[in-house]
Amino acid sequence: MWHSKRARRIAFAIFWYVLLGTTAVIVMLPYIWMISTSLKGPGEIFTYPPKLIPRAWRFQNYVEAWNAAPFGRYFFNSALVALVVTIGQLITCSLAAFAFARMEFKGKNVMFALFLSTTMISTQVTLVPSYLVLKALNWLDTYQALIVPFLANAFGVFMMRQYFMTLPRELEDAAKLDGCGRLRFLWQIVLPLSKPIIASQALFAFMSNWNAYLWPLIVTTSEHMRTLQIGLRYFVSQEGGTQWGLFMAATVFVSLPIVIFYLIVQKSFIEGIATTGIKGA
Amino acid sequence: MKRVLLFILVMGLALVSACGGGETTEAPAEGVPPVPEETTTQEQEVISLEFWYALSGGPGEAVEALVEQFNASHPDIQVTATYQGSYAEIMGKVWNAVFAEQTLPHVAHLGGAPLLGATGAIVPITDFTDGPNGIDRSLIYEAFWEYNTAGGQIWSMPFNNSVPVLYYNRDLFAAAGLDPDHPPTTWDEVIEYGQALTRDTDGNGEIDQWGFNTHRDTHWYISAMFLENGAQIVNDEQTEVLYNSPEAVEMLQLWGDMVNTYHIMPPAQHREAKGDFLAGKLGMLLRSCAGIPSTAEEVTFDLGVGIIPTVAGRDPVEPIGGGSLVIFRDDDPAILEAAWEFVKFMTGPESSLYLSTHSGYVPIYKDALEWPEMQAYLEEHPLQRVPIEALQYAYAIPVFPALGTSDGALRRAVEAVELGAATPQEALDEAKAVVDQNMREQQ
Amino acid sequence: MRKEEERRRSWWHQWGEETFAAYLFLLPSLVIFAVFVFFPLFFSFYASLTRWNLPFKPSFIGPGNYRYLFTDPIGASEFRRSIWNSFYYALGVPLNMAISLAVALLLNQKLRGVSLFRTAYFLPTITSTAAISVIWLWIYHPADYGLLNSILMRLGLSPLRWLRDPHLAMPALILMGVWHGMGYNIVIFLAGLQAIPTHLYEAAEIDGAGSWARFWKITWPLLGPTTFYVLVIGIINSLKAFTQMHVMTEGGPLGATTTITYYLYQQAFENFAMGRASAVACVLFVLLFVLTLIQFKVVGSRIHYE
Repeated sequence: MWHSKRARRIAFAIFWYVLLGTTAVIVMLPYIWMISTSLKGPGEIFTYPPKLIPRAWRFQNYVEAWNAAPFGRYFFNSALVALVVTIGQLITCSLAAFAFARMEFKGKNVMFALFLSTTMISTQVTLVPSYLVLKALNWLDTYQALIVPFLANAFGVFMMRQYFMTLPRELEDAAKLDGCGRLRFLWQIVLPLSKPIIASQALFAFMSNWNAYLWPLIVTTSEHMRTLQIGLRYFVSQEGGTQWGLFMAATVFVSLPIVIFYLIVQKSFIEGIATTGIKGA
Repeated sequence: MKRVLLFILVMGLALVSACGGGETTEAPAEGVPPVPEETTTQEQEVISLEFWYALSGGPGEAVEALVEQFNASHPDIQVTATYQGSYAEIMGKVWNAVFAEQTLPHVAHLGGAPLLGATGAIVPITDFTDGPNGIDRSLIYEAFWEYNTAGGQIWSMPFNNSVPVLYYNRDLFAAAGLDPDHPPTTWDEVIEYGQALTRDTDGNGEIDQWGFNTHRDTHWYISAMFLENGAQIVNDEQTEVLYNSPEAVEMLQLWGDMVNTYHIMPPAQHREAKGDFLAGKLGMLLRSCAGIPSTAEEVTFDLGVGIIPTVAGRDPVEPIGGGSLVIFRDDDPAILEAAWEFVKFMTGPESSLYLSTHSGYVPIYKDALEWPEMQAYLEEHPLQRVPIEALQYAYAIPVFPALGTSDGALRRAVEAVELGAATPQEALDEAKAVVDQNMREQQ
Repeated sequence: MRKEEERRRSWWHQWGEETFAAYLFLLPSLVIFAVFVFFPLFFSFYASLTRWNLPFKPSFIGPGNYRYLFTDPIGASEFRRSIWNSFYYALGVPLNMAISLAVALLLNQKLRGVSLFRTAYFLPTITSTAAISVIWLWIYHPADYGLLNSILMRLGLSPLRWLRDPHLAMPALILMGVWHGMGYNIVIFLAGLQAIPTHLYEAAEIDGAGSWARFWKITWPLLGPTTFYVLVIGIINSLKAFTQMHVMTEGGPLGATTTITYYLYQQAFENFAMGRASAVACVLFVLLFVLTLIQFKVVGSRIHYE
């Protein structure tokens, strides 16, 4: 019996590595191509089948790409905006999600429907009125324009609400006995128990802001307010032909912060596996 | 959770260091005035102009270089140039600004510029060209002026223009027994050459090398074919489109035959066409001449460029594409004068030479081929002689408000015929119905 | 006893006070939404009743746009088709959910190297659109040197035209969408899986439950809230999908991949008919609202919360 159980574990591990390994390679193919193209010179990029190993590794593509536009400045803008939005969303989303998940109040369902309805609007038609709002506030070409509209996010509220609702009711009763106020309850008990969902929400908020292109393009006009995604467009030319090597190099270094953020975030998932009985049972 | 905070801290530190490493060390200020305004400071009497442009990559660098040249030679007028996206994106921004009565830049580079005339936001460029500080308009091809005309008025200044040319793979020509120095000049020849070039190179029963294809802006090329055959795109009053006429139907039929009868062009494969050509899987490609420099750099085979083919016995039609410069209305005549100085510089012969030698765009001046610098450049880059020589056939498709709809409708008509879903007459009748309806609504 | 009396007496107090507190919690989000979401929404609704060619000012025409979308011979058939295409595309949602869940389960192991695999599966969501389009255009290339076609040829089958075939284009885009959106759902499922206490699994194993039984009796029910979330936003996002259609097929071939959102884009940025585009957006909004309501009523009530 001891043998077969161990054997089964080993078999599973082998199966696991093989399956995930092969599918992971397939899944990563475009990203691998992205990196390999970033190291190519002209003449290597359009071939069938696409070449994965560049002939001569042109690391100077990265240097040239970085120098082609003020990427330092763009990096600063993108990071500042994405970080503030992330923190802001964590605050507004956890507050609202807590209310929906753990509080009873008049109009709760209507409010929740209202929140969800904010996700159902097409951005193409809200561009002009949003632009009007920014103009009225005198916020065009400022950080406020890039940050404030995104400080709330109904997707995040919904996601956190689902998670909060799975936490046991006993927690509240215990807190009430202790005379714990709602905010303190949220901050000291609920949130620490919700690390995975907070980490996910932070990741998504950061990513969607980091990758935003159209909104920053519309609301900023000055060079010093530009974000990284706009900077990337600098290498793309519909009529004249894109400088693929430089473009891919820039894309790679623009995507690195998200990769790093993700690596950090998913550590909290592994922590989650390790902890036993988080419900205190 | 702690790690997320740690990440935020690290990013914060990275911000601080990036701040020092960036090229503009201007500190970000909240409540920075949202729109740069023109300033005339007492001490220097410098006029600051805001210029929005839509070129990126190599051409974008050329524009930046020209702006730097202007600033260096005009200490009393300083221009800040910013890239604002593609033609469509920059137009969107301009429209937003006009609609919201937000302050606009002083000069902008756009596609479809003459359409702005009706908004009253721009000054007709002829106010400047025909004024005291003006230029001799006859030095520039008439077709370029027509390209910038709407409602009988010339609104914008020609700047970066291109025409379609026939890119071809000389190595594939030679291998197929075709003369690489003589690309096809008529559509019948295209079919002939195409049939020699379309092959199944690895013998597995599937064609993997095609003879002919066009880039994905098929509306441009089919329009050229319509015009070559004597059809018109739109009527003079601009109340309806006319491309369901027999002459036009004939050309769309020819296009469809290339796909379905002579099998030299794959159906509905225009998005892949450029990649196929670069990879040596396509013999001939119709595409804008703006792509010549990057294509020449990218290909591993011997590249050839020819003029757009035409109907036998008729002149080729090279429809114009590209962008123009506009000057926005301003109450201050000094600003307008300065803006015109800038536009005049950017479109002058030296700048036109610079732009066309640092990109695939063509110079707008009739005597460009005689400039010694141009001749020297063409010695080194003979392929770019073709589009410049083709300018004698340049033609401006009339600009009308429903142009976006029309272009889309034509592309879909072409696709329908290629896929055998409609006859050319049906496809063009439907396109006309859609576009005419849109035109009526735009009145 | 005294506590119960207190509770009964101050019931109204408590009820009112909790409502007040709850709205305080909602306030920050509501303020942002009011200015940046609800105002544009009302504006779009107003715009849908106008003829509006940017950059000119809109002019009121009443329900004309809606009449066009629902009764005009050309307009109505195009609009109907775009709705149909959107629902077709939404078929990818359950597919995405199933694959993402399967992968998340696989990635929820403590085996060494799991971080690397997790990162691999997340890369599609952060790869640039340009790189994605180049690679997928090669995967789906209609010639025999396209990746999928070369595999087909090796199996002795003939190549397919994929994105250039009106019948295959949408399935091809769905597959691409699944590949691209997997990363998000995997993260969400992984987060949801962390909430399931391991002692439940241990107890079940001691009781002799096999892995399939463990999944159905423990994992699946406790993942309910998470799965429901993934379903609802999956449908919302798939009806709003736009970029792929724009980059890969331009809504073709023959309109096969013109979804509601792509149709909206055409009205707004090809025809410059902002009024009509706004009408499309309003119809889409109502559609999504109704769909979400149905999901909450039908599925939501059966979710097992703790």
